[in-house]
Amino acid sequence: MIESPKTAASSLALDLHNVEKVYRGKVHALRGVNMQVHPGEIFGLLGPNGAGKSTLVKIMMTVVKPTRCEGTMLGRPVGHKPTLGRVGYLPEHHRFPRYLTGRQTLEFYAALSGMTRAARKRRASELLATVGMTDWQHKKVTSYSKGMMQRIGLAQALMHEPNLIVLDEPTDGVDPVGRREIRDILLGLRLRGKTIFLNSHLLSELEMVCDRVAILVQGAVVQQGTMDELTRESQRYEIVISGRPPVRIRDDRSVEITRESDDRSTLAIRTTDPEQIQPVIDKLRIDEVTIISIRPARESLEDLFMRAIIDPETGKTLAPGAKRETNTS
Amino acid sequence: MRQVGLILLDSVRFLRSSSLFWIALGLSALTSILLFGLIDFEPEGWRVLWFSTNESEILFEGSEAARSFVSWLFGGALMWWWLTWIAILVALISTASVMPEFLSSGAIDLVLARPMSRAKLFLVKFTGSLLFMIAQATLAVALGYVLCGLRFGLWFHNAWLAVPLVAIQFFYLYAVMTLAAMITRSTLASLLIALLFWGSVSVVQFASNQLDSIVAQTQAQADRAADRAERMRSRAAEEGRDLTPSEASRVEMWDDEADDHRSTLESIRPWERRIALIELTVPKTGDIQKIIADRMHAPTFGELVFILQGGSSEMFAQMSGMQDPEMAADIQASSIAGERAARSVNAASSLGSSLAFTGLVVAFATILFARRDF
Repeated sequence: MIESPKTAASSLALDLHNVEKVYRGKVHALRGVNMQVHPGEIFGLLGPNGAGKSTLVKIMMTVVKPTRCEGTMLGRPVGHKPTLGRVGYLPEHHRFPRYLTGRQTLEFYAALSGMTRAARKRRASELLATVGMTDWQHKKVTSYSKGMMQRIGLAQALMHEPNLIVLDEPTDGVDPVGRREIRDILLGLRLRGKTIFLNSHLLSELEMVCDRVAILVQGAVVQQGTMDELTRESQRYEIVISGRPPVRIRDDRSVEITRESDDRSTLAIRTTDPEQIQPVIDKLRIDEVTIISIRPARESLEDLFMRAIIDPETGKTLAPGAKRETNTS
Repeated sequence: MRQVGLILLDSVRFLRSSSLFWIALGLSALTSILLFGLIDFEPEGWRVLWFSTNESEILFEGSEAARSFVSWLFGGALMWWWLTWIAILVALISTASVMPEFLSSGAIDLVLARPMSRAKLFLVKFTGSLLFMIAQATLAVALGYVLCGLRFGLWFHNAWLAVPLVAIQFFYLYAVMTLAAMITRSTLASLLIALLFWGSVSVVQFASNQLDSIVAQTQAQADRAADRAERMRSRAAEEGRDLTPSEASRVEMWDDEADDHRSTLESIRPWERRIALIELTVPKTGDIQKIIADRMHAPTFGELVFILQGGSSEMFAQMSGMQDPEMAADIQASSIAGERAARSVNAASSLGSSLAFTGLVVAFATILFARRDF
């Protein structure tokens, strides 16, 4: 049976097509974004400053009105207000009312999402413990550090047991221990089948938790897929040997010498198949070369990101910020 | 419904956290206690606190003058100066930051991303701020009501109308402040715009009041002059004689005076119409005071003075150095007529047109909120 596009869309947690946003002054923040997020995955959105990441998130959360937007969120059209009751959201630089305590903050936003009083009380206690804020729950949020605000922010996004959780820079201002805790929370949520949409500048953080990523540059998605898909071309085996490579290896066209010195050298074989590196190992053995290490390697997310933001025409990093429409007539 | 209740509860939390709210509440209580707790009436006169009694044949326990005095204190002093001016100013200052904070980046995102329409969210948030004024007015009126009832045996039931009316007056101004906040997103700018607006409509109303007063006084003076001239002619006619030269001269003077007043009235009328037209289009903040005083049957200041003088103009004549008591009585009567005219108001028309203006302002602010990107 062939799945119709509509059915296919409803099976995705987020399915965006042709999302455009032109602000006043003809600032073209988004230029036809297409993005698909599968249920139960952690999806990372990255891009340089001004690429349109926050605008895209705000469109999803109805904070910003799109110029054009087709697609669905949790099977309903983007902008469908009742659906937001199943979506948790932590905006970047969030500000809670200064007169609320941590617990009141959680309960307030949960009630806005339609939770009952009893459920709010129970869930707030659970989440305060999860994010390590139980001891601070009755203190005013104005007395919290940046990291504590992030923890409470994350908790409020999870209060109403959402199916989709949209987090904008969730580890901003959080210390390394806190970051690890937040990472563990996100991985735990994925295990429970929740979909997480993560917007972050911290590429190493994203790399550790994301199943799939999209790179947004100047309002358009330039890369999207799993880390494996995006780094397939760069996947290789790296062999570190002592001393310089022997002639037999130098003559082998499948081997690339990426580093060479009298002390040690690094060889790269562009393959994901371990069978294909066996002949190279044999040759090294024949020449009695000491093999220090063999490991599969691939481009890091940072490498991928940097490659994505390089202008292929000029070879320079693309200027930050959204594209402004100009009259070319 | 749960969401609506919670946003209102949030407004209460905001109030509780505001020191200005508690200060204003304390001052409201203090004002009521000072106004109605300091003075007391006895069968032989009146006294202030524990000081000796001032004997009076006019102002004593149970007298009409005592009732007028207390109703003036309540409907005039407390309502006029405290509730409809100072308390509203404090409320505007206290709530000025509500909308800009609500609309600030990072705060608005958290509330917009909820399963609730923008218009509903905005209107509930807007309504929540009115609680500030309702709390202030309720406390001041309740204390005034109870103190007047217990101390003087005067239960001003109509005083309770002041609670919704003062809230309405605050509503006029808060709507403008909210619209300004929607446009500027600045606490200071929105407060200044609201105060400027209040000042402008007050100037329009002051001009209107002054014109009403002048028209009423001039009309009264014209009528009196014409009446005197007519009475003198009638008396001569009844006696079957012509006017004596002296009488003819006075009649001529009164006729001229009446003509002068009528001519003044004619020159004022176009201005009166123009001001009335301008006044019709803006919220009439000053009318709230008048409506409250009117419903409480509070005398004007001039009327109170007249009552405390035992309904005679002798003291007025002495104080103003007038030799002719009849003329003094005329001037005092026309002055009271002017005050009355300035205070007279058509409540339905005033509230209706003001609420229509305010409704448009709120509707415009709601549309802006519903359509804006944050």
